[in-house]
Amino acid sequence: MELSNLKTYYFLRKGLFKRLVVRAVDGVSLVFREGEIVSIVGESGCGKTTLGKTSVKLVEPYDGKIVFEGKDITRMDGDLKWFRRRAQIIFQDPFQSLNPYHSIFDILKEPLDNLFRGEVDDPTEKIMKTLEEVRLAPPEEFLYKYPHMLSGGQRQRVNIARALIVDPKFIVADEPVSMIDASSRAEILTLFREIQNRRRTAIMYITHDISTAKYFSDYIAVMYAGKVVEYGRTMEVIKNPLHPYTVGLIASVPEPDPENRKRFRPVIGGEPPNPINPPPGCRFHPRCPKRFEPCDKIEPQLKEVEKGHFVACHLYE
Amino acid sequence: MGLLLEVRDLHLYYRTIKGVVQAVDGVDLRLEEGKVVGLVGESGCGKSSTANAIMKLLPKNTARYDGEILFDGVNIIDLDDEIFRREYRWKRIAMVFQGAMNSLNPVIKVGDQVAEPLILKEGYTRAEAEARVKELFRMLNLPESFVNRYPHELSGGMKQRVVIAMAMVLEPQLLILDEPTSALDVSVQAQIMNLLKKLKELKRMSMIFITHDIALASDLSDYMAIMYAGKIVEFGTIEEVLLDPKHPYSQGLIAATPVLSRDVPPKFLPGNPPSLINPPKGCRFKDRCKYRMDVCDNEPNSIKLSDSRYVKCFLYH
Ligand SMILES: Nc1ncnc2c1ncn2[C@@H]1O[C@H](COP(=O)(O)OP(=O)(O)OP(=O)(O)O)[C@@H](O)[C@H]1O
Ligand SMILES: [Mg+2]
Repeated sequence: MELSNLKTYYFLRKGLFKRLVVRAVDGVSLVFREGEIVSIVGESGCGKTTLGKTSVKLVEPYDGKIVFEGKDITRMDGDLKWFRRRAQIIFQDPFQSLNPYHSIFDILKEPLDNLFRGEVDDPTEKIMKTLEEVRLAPPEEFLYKYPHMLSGGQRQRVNIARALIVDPKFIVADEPVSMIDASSRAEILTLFREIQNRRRTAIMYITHDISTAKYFSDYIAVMYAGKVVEYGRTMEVIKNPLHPYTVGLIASVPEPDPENRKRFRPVIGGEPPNPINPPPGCRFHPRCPKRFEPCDKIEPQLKEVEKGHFVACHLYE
Repeated sequence: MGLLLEVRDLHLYYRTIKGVVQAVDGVDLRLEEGKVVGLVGESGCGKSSTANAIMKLLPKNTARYDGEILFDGVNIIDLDDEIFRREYRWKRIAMVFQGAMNSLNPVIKVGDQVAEPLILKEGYTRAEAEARVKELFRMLNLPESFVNRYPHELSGGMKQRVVIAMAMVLEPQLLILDEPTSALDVSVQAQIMNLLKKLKELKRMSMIFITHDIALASDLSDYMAIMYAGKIVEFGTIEEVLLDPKHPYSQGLIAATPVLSRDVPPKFLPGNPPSLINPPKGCRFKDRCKYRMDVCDNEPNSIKLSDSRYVKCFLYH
């Protein structure tokens, strides 16, 4: 999948004549290759969920281009079935995203009915296999259970199974473990990684937690106020962050260390901007410890600063 | 350094249609003046219930509430409700509730919400109360003028500062913070943690810091209490618990925490915590424990490993 200069705006009406524009995603270009995981890391309101929804066509882009398997699907709306079989999304909340009145069997059969009516020889077998793949085993034990009978981690596996059952080529996983207990998070992510390795799926992993992105992705794109401010190989971005926002974000992540309580953390002041009224120039400049002359006037462009490592910041021009 | 709080064999059970929930089951805790204990555990293990038990805020369906809570030498469990309400709750022991920033009264200016107990409980005049609130705002890095704002005019981090101000306004000796940053962005979370550190130093306030995030707890805590299924399975100084965890659950929880600065991938703990209704006899962690022995079907005692540390596990009996 290739996203080029993708923009997703929400238009809100305020009063009779005023229209507010929320520039949730404002010119993002990214590539997702077979068998690779790209993490989209950022804080609330940076547009990461909108980016995910736009790329699987749950939300219409305002501008830009989405190319999938060589096809321009930006404005495709008639034959969406073709695309839905190939691109799936997994949402954050394992408690709200499953219909409580449907058994696991029903939940997993639904996408087969909707997207493959009659084309799957033995849906039950396919469902059992997929349950095994997400390690809800033995599958017979889960088929006729209802979501409330499962733990959070098990529910999230059902969510993953529901996405996998159509054998997608591209999956958006929007904070798939943020509601799951710390001791089980790594389990879900490891499972994900294994499945992805086996199936060679391309994955967009959306998270606010750069430390899980570290273990789970090949590339990281850091988003701030609707834009990608830094992009590169995961280890490169984490070990050698270039954008002052990325640097601050990494410094903000708590680490289990008894020495921490004896020192203050270098923090980024302020809070992420409102996407209705992002600051002019570089959107991070009001919070940036390194801002200088051009930052409040000229918007920096994403540029390759080191091989494969891109950053949008005037410090590197 | 004086002992401020000593909790012994605290129980809080709830009556439900499905049975009795043993949310707090024989909890021991101790805290000195000016120190912070991190109460860490996964969702539903009884952290908030422990806090509510110390605040003596019990729901109608309480089935059992006993043990000892010695606060400054007085067993507040036995204390007359009226006396506790008048002389202890909010005045000497205060709490920032989980999710409190979303339950601020939307139609009252935040300054007035913070000032209320000063006027109602302490007999301050309006002007005196306002001066006091402004002083508090300054200390919490909130502009003084924000006393005249309504909750919706504040960002998440600002609202969290306001609810901290509400808990601190009567200068309690003990402040309980229940997940005070979990709804905030990492960069804002880091600001609040710095602020709490400053308060700890400046006011020499004792705190119980409740979180599911062991890394975050290490940012502030001198002691760490690891809670699992209604029990504190390990208690010790932060150095003891983080650097040399003894209980297999503490070990698992620490190993499951992803760390940005190190290259050890997180390992997961298989399984889920037991239900607190009819939990298994004996050690509640045994079904997930790789060291499980026959003897684990009995209740493990609290084993003292050092002056500051105890653990509940048969490996150390
Ligand atoms: N008023 C109540 N009546 C019945 N059960 C309750 C009540 N309050 C809490 N519980 C149950 O008691 C157990 C402990 O809950 P508690 O809220 O103390 O956990 P917690 O550790 O604070 O969890 P979290 O991390 O999700 O906030 C849970 O099983 C919960 O469902
Ligand atoms: Mg709680």
